[in-house]
Parts: sequence; structure tokens; C-alpha cells
Amino acid sequence: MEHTAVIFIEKCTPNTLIEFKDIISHSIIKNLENWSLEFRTYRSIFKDKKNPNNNSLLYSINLTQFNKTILIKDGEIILNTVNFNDIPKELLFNGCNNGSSMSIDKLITNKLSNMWSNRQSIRGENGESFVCNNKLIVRIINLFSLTGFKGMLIEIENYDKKMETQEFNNHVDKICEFLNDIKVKDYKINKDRTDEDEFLCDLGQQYVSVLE
Amino acid sequence: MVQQLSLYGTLPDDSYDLFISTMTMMSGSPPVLFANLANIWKPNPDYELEKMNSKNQLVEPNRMKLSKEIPLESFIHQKTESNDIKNYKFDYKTLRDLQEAEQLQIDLASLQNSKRFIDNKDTKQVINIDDKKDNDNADIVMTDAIDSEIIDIEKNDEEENNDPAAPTLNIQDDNADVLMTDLNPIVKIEETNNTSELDEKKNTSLSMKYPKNKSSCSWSLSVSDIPVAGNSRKVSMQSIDESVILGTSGNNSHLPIFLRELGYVPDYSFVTIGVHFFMKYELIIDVHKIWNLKEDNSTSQTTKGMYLIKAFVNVTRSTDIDRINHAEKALLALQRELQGYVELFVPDRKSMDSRVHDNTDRTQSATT
Repeated sequence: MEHTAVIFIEKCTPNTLIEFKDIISHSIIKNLENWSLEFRTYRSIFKDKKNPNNNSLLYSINLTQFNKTILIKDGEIILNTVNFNDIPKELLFNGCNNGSSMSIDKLITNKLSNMWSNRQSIRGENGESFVCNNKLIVRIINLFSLTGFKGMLIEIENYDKKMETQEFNNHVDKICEFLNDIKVKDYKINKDRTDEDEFLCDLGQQYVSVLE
Repeated sequence: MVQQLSLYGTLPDDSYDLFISTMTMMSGSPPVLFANLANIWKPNPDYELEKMNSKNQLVEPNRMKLSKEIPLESFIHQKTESNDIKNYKFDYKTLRDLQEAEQLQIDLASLQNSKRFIDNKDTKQVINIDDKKDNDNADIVMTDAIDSEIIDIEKNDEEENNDPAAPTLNIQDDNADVLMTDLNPIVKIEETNNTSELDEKKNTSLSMKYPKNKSSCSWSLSVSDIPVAGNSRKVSMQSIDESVILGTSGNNSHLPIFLRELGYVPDYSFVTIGVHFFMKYELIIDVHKIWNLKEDNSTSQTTKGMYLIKAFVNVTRSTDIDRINHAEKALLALQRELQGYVELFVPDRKSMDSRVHDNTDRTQSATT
């Protein structure tokens, strides 16, 4: 089973990433591909005639390392793919899909912009990812919004799928200790798992809980 | 996003066999049977929508189409002629058998409601189908022989259930993938000649037990624009934005609930069953029939006495003028070739419009 955790440090500088990388550098086994992240918040701009105070938020998280987009609204999650190879063959062969899949947040920005308007987008590009000797994949990235630097984000995933929850939590605690070592005290962390079948949906929830 | 260039035509019921053999000759490949279920969603009329977005661009409320495949195995209940379910092959004749049918004996309710990535409650589903069958006995044109056969198959399944060594019964996630690939309808069509009777029997019993497969909780969501305007157009050209939803999660983990949260409500649903021909130059010809699906999951055929023919080419980039011109030529060549036999024409642009109009109660809009 996959375990994931997301840590977001708002009170830091772009250099904190380098400090953090230095401190875990002794445990890095190999580097993985770079990754990017885009976190968008949408606000509804339609008026509900029956329920005028219903004004709610929609989040989309675009993760390049999995080639997936996760859309979250009030605890409801859908998982969307942009990768042709992930489109189920049954959909292609039965005339449901014409062989293309665009990211669902693009669909919302293009086609539903009269209902949902993009309020904020936080993005990070060229984040680094490593496999560490404690069988974890650690991904680090600096996040920026339109106004400037937002903070640093760490995503932790178990490389060894047989890892127990307790062991994973211990490793995550260790990483938090590293953060304390570089005098980062103020951070948000989330490692909740609710859906055993699909860790990406939980990962999306974790992103929302630290970034919203 | 794809640009879809298309021409439409109609075919009377009794010309079906001849047309199929003509097209098989022309395309050099046999027809491929397909079936899909489409739900059309429209913006919630209780919401007040602006026609402008925050950048002052005109955005008109558009319908969304959610579609998914119907596993061919579901049609086994529909069989009327042959009593031999185990050796039943799905081909273009399946569609001919359905020609007159109003009520499709397919468990559409469970297809609509599939929630999870992998549903382990599938064994219950077979029972559901049967329960339904008992209730709807009046409508069913099925011989007793078939009924008893199905029960036999189920008994086998139950026996297998008790046998822990049976390979088909590991409903663990690892094996699920392998099992699911067995159910791929197309592969099955192509391989029916090669598979031994035993394999086929296994396939049938499997599909009875797993009417849903892994992909059955993924849906394709598409929003199509009104076809490009212009009187001189020889083919219809429409851009379609598509996105594949692999699954849902969360409190309710249900796609319809998510769409309601997005501000959409169900409009109408329909079932399409037909055959594809894959021609040269990426040209695809669909011969299909459409069944309107009501809320109580009863169906009525909207294409009585006729088949709908759709010839189309998808071009993945709208800026690829060369490919678009090429596709147009291919369609026009087909139109010329079939002239005098089947007339292919440019569909009415308004009937292909999926936008929601105020003050009109057009329920049937674009089906593409």
C-alpha cells in the first residue's frame, strides 16, 4: 500500500530548499525525474437562487510525476488523466472517447469559466525528487504564486510498497526532525489516508489541507 | 481536444446485412461491435449564470456528455434466437437481433451507479440482474432453455466459489488486472476464433460474475462546440474537448454527486449500440441505433426502422490544416463512392448544438 505525506513550509526563503537538500544529501541513493506542480483554486461565480449563500471553492491539483489531475470539491474527489496510455481501452473502442484527454482543470477554465473562476494558482516547476536509503521517495519544490514566493513543499511517498504505516510515520517524523535542525519550526503536515484503493485521491486531499 | 469532421446518413433496417458486407469489402476488415451509455448533463437551472466570465469573454452554458462502455457480455440476456449462450459470438448480428427491440435487457442501473475503482461486490450483481429479470418477466422474450443455462453457469460459479484453488476467484487487486484484461470486449471479438471452447466458457462465466470491470468506473467527459459555420462547408466540423475521469473518491465517492457540486444536473441519457468500420486515412464509419434511456432505466428506441450512419475523421490539432483538408477529402471520396446507395450529408448545424438555450425546451440536442 502506498503511503504519502505532504509538508508545506510557508515561513521560509527559497534557500531553505537547498539547506534541506544538504541535510538529507547523505541518504540519497538516486535522483529521479524532475516534477512540477500546479495548485489552482476556483470560486463559483453563479448565484444559487434557492440558496444564495452557497459560495464554494473547487481545487485542482496537477501533478506531473503521476500525469494526473485531481479535482476536489467539498470532500468529493475525482481523478483525471492526461496520459493517452491511461485512457481505458474500453472507452476508446466503444466510441466514448476520441483518443484525447485534456486536463480537467483546462476544461473548467475553457468551458466552465462562466461558472467557476480561477482565483489563485500556485505553481512550482522543476522540483527535484530522490530515492532515499530509508526506502522513501522525497520530492521537494519551491512554490510561487503570481505575487511571488509562497513557500517550500515536501512530498513523501514510500518507495517500498510493503512498508507498514508505523514505519512510514517514523520516517516522516525523522524528516520533521531534519526540518527542526535547519530551524524550520512552522510547517503544516498531512499524512491522512482514507481511501485504500487510490492513494492519489488522498494525496490530493493532503495537498488541499496544507495549501488552502 | 479533437476536431471531428463528419457526414451523416441513414440506412433502412432491411439493408443492414448488405451494407455490412459492402463495407467489410470496402474497408477490408470486419465490423467491430460497440455499445456505450451516455448521460447528458446541463447547468443547473436553479443557478443564475452569467454569460460572461471574469475576463468579459462570452461563454455560453454548454451541456456535458459523460459516456462509458457497456460490456458486451451484458447483452447475453438479450439473446433471442440461439439457445447456446456459451458459444455465442458477438458480431454485427447482435445489432441486427436488437433491430426491433424497445426494451434493452441490460442492467444499466448498475453501470450508472458503479462507484469504486474496483468493486468487489460483483458477485451480488449477478443476483441483481436475475432478480430484475424475474420482475420484468412480462417483457422478456427469452426461452426457458436460456434461463436454465444461465442458472447452470451460476451454479458452476458458486461451486468454484467454494473451491479456494480456483484461479478465477482471487478477487485480489493484483489479479484483478489480469482478470479484467480477459474481459476486454474487442480482444474477445478478435480472438474468438482462436480460443478453445473451454476458454470461452471460462470467459462467459467470468463475465457473468464480473459484469463490471476496472474501467467501468471511468467515464469520458466531453464538451462539444457548435459545428463551424459557413454555407460552403462540405462536411461538418466540430471541436470536442474531452477528459477522462479515472475514478472518484471522497465522502460519497460518486461522480453524479460531484457534477451536482460543479453546478450540473442530469438532462437526458441514451444508449448507442452499433458497429465500427476502420477505413483508410483514419476514417471511421459507425452504423448504430440509439435508445433513449428514461429515469426508471426503461428504454425506447428512437431510431426505429433505420440505422444511423456516421462517417468521421478525428484530427487531434485544430491548427493542423493539412490533416483537416486531407480528412475532408477522404470523407468526400467516401460520399462519392456511396452515392446512389447511401446518401451521406452534412448534418444540420443547429441539431449538433449542445448549448443550453433559454426559453426553449429542446430536450434532444446534439448526440455527438
